Amino acid sequence: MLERLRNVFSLLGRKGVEDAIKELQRALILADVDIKMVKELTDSLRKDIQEELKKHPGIPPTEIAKYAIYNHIINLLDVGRPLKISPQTIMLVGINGSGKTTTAVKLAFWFKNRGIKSYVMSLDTERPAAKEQLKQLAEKGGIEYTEEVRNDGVTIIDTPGRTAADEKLLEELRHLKMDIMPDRTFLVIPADMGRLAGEEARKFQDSIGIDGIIITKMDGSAKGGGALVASKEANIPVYFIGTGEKLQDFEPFDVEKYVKRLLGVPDIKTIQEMVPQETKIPERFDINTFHEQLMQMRGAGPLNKILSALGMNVPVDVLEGMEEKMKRYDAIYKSMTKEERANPDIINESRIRRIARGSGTSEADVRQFLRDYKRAEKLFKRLKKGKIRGLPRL
Amino acid sequence: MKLIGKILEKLRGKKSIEELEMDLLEAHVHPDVIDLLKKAEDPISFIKERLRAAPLEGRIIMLVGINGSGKTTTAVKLAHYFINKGYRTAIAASDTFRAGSIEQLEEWNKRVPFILFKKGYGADPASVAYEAVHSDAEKIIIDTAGRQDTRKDLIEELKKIKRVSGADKTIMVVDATQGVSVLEQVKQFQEHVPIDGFIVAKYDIDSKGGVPLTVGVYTGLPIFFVGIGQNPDGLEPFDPDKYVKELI
Ligand SMILES: Nc1nc2c(ncn2[C@@H]2O[C@H](COP(=O)(O)OP(=O)(O)O)[C@@H](O)[C@H]2O)c(=O)[nH]1
Ligand SMILES: Nc1nc2c(ncn2[C@@H]2O[C@H](COP(=O)(O)OP(=O)(O)O)[C@@H](O)[C@H]2O)c(=O)[nH]1
Ligand SMILES: [Mg+2]
Ligand SMILES: [Mg+2]
Repeated sequence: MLERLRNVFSLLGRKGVEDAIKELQRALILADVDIKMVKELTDSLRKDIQEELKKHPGIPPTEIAKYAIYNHIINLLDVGRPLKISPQTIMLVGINGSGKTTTAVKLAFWFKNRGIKSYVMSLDTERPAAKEQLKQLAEKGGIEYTEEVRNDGVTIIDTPGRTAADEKLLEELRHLKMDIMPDRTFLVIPADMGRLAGEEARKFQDSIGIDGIIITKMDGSAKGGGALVASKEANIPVYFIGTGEKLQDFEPFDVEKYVKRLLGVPDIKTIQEMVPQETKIPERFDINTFHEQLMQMRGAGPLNKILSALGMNVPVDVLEGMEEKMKRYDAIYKSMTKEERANPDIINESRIRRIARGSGTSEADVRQFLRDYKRAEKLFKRLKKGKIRGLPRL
Repeated sequence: MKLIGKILEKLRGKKSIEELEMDLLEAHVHPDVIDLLKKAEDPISFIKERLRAAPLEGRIIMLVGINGSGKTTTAVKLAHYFINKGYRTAIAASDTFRAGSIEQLEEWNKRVPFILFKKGYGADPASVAYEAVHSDAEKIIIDTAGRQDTRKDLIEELKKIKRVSGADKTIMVVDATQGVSVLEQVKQFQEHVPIDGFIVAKYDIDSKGGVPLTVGVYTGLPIFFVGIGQNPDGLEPFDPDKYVKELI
């Protein structure tokens, strides 16, 4: 079966676009992506491929198809923002046996390992010994069980299994939520969930409100396509995946990995080949390149184009409030010495002070500039290595 | 099995294979099973042949399946069912791994009077089953720990429980809300511990999903019961006729 998924991409060379789309459909169906969504996806994919073909007559259609398939899937997933590592209350909800109780302790354990005091609390009085299960797991992880929400750390709240089908019980859960007022509510979905995933997510979203998804049991052979549908239906990102029964079998969601698992590893040589001619990736990257790209980005310059052509979400922080920032950044750039621009690592505290004074900005602005530069540099390196999201390296 | 087939009979010829395929895909029936149906001369009678219910016989019944599919709840439901029929019934708490699994059965035991055999966490699951089997109970249900289909090592361990207990029936408890991956799970389990049939838990949550058709048609093995709700009396015989009618 896995071989078949891998074939999605290798087939392209031999049999053409339509066959590749058929294989893609089968791969998605085998991953439990809903058939309606599969159809929508492939319809718009066909359109995309046609348009791209017109735009880039030089690139072989099969290459265009590969590129479009990958971007399409990636774009469906809302990446979301990383979870804040600070005291908060998180409630877990979901269908019976999805993994809520186990995940509650995993999540608490995750926070604990990041230096935050964490607690778990059970509101499940239905499943026999649910509280006992939570307590036993908590003890294993050195996590305190609590009977009420704590302010001095993270409290993870476990709830009884609920399904979209039972509106009365969902309503009850909504009241529970109103009493507790958690900062976030996550829907726990097993990787092997079938046709109900989308509907469950939508109904949970409508009736109680959910902020994110955690996919469990990703260690099995199931591909978790239901989570893709759920994420789209409820318009919320996936935050974590569970990969086993132990408390440490838990990791932040990684879109690249997920899509690779969904489709198999694409047979794409290098990123450069995919990028249209006029948007060449610069040879090296320093503050000069960063500045140049930033300035060009104001008029949708090459970097921005490359990133969006790759289906990448440019990190929100880099683009947010860009216009005002841009002026400040321009001034900061101009206050730097040649040496500093070529070799930003030498910029120490006293240089930061000097640059801030010289550019009429604050030291915090200069530090932010440097952080953004670092981030862009990282992106650039990944781009060079072809490791960018959407077009993974072989 | 007299009624089975009446409604199916009516369906015959009503839907084109394309329409049928769309219905089946919407229900998340595994594409391999759909391919089997396409190859069949008459898909409806093929379904009829392969998808079947059967009464559950035998003294020693072992439940296997992946994590959270509904094994423990099903064990309790089976105990309730046999007790009502007058059998002295025991459950072996052979899930000695999952946190709270033993307490879960102890809690149930306050409501359903089965004889509970338990040894504590970390104990050898086979030895728990062994004790139950060598008691004077007339029906013994062995509840095992859930395991994923990718864990061949863990699935392999079921062999020992089966051998030591001399289970008459090995039943895979599958979850009605699952998608197509249920087929891979069944294949993996079957490769290591031959199974005799299925119980489809959480059928109350989804009675229109593709799980019964996928596992039934692919293996040709019977579906003994479907699980309805979380109470001990929530076990019903599987009705293929009604199911297929709702499905397509
Ligand atoms: N293999 C595996 N098992 C898991 C994972 N998460 C939970 N489980 C198991 O799934 C079963 C149901 O989990 P539980 O937390 O009790 O689910 P709940 O009913 O939603 O609270 C248990 O056997 C857990 O050990 C996971 O990521 N991988
Ligand atoms: N609605 C419904 N819930 C069920 C059914 N069978 C099991 N459950 C629930 O699913 C969850 C996991 O069941 P459990 O028997 O502990 O699964 P196990 O891990 O396979 O032993 C529990 O919350 C059960 O109450 C069923 O037939 N219908
Ligand atoms: Mg629970
Ligand atoms: Mg169990």
